[in-house]
Amino acid sequence: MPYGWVGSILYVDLSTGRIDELDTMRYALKYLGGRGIAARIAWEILPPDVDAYDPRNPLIAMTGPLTGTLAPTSGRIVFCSVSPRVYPKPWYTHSTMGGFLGSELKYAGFDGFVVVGCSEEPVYLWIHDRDAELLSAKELWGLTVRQTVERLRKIHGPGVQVACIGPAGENLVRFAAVSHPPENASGHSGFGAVMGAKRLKAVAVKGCGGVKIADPERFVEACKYAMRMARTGTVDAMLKIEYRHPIPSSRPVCSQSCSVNCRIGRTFFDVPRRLDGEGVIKAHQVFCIGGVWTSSQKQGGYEGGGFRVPPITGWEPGEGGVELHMLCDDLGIDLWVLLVFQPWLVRCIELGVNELRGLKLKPRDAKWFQEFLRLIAYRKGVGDVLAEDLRRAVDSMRGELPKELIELAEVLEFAYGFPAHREGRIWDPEPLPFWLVSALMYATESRDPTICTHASFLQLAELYLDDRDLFLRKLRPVAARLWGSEKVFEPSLEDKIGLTIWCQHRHVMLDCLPLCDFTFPRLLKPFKSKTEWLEAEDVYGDLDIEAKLLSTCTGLESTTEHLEETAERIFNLERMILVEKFGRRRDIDEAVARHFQLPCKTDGTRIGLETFRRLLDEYYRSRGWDLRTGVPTKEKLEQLGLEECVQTP
Amino acid sequence: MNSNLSAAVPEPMVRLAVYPDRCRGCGLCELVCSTLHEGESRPSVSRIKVEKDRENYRFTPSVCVQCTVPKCLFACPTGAVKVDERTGAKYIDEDLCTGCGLCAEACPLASEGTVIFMHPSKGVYVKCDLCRRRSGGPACVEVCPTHAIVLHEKGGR
Repeated sequence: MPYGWVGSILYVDLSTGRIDELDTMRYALKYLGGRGIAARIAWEILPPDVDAYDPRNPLIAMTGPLTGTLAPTSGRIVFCSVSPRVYPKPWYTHSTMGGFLGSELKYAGFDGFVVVGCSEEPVYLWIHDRDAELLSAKELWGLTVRQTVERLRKIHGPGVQVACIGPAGENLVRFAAVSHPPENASGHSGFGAVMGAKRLKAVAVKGCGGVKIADPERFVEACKYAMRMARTGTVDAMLKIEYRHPIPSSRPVCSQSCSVNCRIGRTFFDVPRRLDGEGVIKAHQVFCIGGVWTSSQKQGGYEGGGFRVPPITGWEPGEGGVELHMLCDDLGIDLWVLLVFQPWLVRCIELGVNELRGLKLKPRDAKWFQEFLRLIAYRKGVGDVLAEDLRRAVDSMRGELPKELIELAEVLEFAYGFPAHREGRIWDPEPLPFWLVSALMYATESRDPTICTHASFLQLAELYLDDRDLFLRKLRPVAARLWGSEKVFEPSLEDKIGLTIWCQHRHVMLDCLPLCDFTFPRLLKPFKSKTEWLEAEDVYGDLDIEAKLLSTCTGLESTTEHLEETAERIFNLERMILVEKFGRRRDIDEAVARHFQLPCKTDGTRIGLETFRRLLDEYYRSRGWDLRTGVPTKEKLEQLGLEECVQTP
Repeated sequence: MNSNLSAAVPEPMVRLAVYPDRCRGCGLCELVCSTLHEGESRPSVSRIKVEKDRENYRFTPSVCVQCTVPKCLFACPTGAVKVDERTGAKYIDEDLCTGCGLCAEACPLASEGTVIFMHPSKGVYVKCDLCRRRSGGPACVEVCPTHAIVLHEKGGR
């Protein structure tokens, strides 16, 4: 029995009802876990050009060696599959999730599960203590997320962990989430619709086993050190609020093993109902984007390059914000639906389009938005069109809309149909050099890549915006130490490739071990207050925490170099999946350049196509990818031990 | 209960106290406990247990409070419940335990057997031993981010 990994991956064929197992250790040493092992399995079994709803499309859920252990923030799982959201044509991508499903899965004796095929009748997968079975979900089909969980807890006991779909997944809404109540979801990639297409309503897990630890004493010490280094949580916490110890207890964790003073969650108690029924909602917690739903302040918004994106306004907790957030969760829709659709619908009205196919538009009205969410989830009226996501929706309404609204949809979901995020324009204010690193990541990945690079780089923008000169002075030695150039964090185009690739590899690492990207890597020391940050001479944190956790957990002596090489292998394998199976080439990478010709909302900087191409050359050269095609070279693949991915000419 | 017997049981040097209102349900106490006692991260064998009602954000840790009059010790027919010389912690000697469960039945704290419970693979009963072999004392206290479990030292509050 290995340490860290529990040794087995379920392989479930819904078409035949057959359940087999794969040996995790066949993959673990080379591909670590999470996205890495998922990519290797996808490389083996995913046929080329498969649509998201094709029964041959596998839905792969993988934990990592640290999931279920004491390692702080390790309670995560990643889903990988062909995503129906990807525009114009679905391809393979990933979507990570916190919560308690991943750890429970390991306690039940499995590192992950692969689901292929399609069931004739609705089913759910019941995994419990080294066993798994497919059970009828006829009684569950049509239920909301919370109803489904309640029903499954009645059947299998209160401790059962559930990931399931709501009506949105059943009705193949392209941005339907795999929901894991009360707070977590794998939302962006629309894998809820993949479950819907397979008629897989839920996965329910209960286990009494454990994750064996190679060196318990040293592992506990490594975890305690990681907790100390991560105690201040997110970067923005130190600017906004002085660190408090102990952590306020009114803030329940979103995930197993979280030790962090997290500032991205808020808990509401005794919220009066305004939209449906009477009484109060006793307790409800929101994370990250949930904060936008539950605030009436204007957020985001953009004007430039001939575009106007109206700001987003949610609703105060007592004015429907909490109820709408809960409804969105319950229907199983990606919470970003507000951020994509509200600005676009407000702009519709500003341009004189007051209704869409008979639906009068009132996108800032809570009651209206409630109905809007239901129209999408149940594909009623214009909801049937919008359930295809904004890019596909405007494609099918081209004759009915002014040109600006079509182009605005292209801006809002500029990268392969995923919402703009931390790219210095539509939503967040990242100035140069931050948005440039985003741009290069966007150009070379399968989805919005910024979603898991908060602590590695993008959140540092808050420190930069607070005091640019101070930030640069403190970060120059760090840049020189890690990337051999003091110019890495300067607002210029120079020396950004090393940092970009590092962010991408750190992202892969976090999705494989796994750990939370709001907390790791610890590029900076855990400053407890702004004063500490201002006074510190040496601000460098510790980037070896991950390797220490992995080594003491698994007993396999790992180093940061080894982890980075593994991450590079996985990144290139994912690239080869897109290249070989979905025709990804340089021209697709270059297509995102257009978005970055819009001026940055903070400093007005932008990048022309030729310059972007030059940077892409530099990036490909650093990666060992062919400059003309953007395909990893034979030499690079062989160097990474990916001989089987070398294309035959 | 024979009062002479209880007078013969030494007071522990420290006691654990839990504050449910402070708990956020992260499970770190259960994980560090099982890692150090069993060599695996496994909440089901943790000596400290947290009942987690995530929908209502109610978390209830429960752990042995090292009763001054330890009914578990008196109930054990084989002398498996012992008192650690160094720390004064009541613990179960797994070699002597026959798995009869009288200790768990006698425990005044938990009817469900959360404080003293049958180890699912070993066939013996286990309970908190205040990490008696660990020089730093109870590990759960060290990893709790919200001070929901704290140490009360002998003579202190």
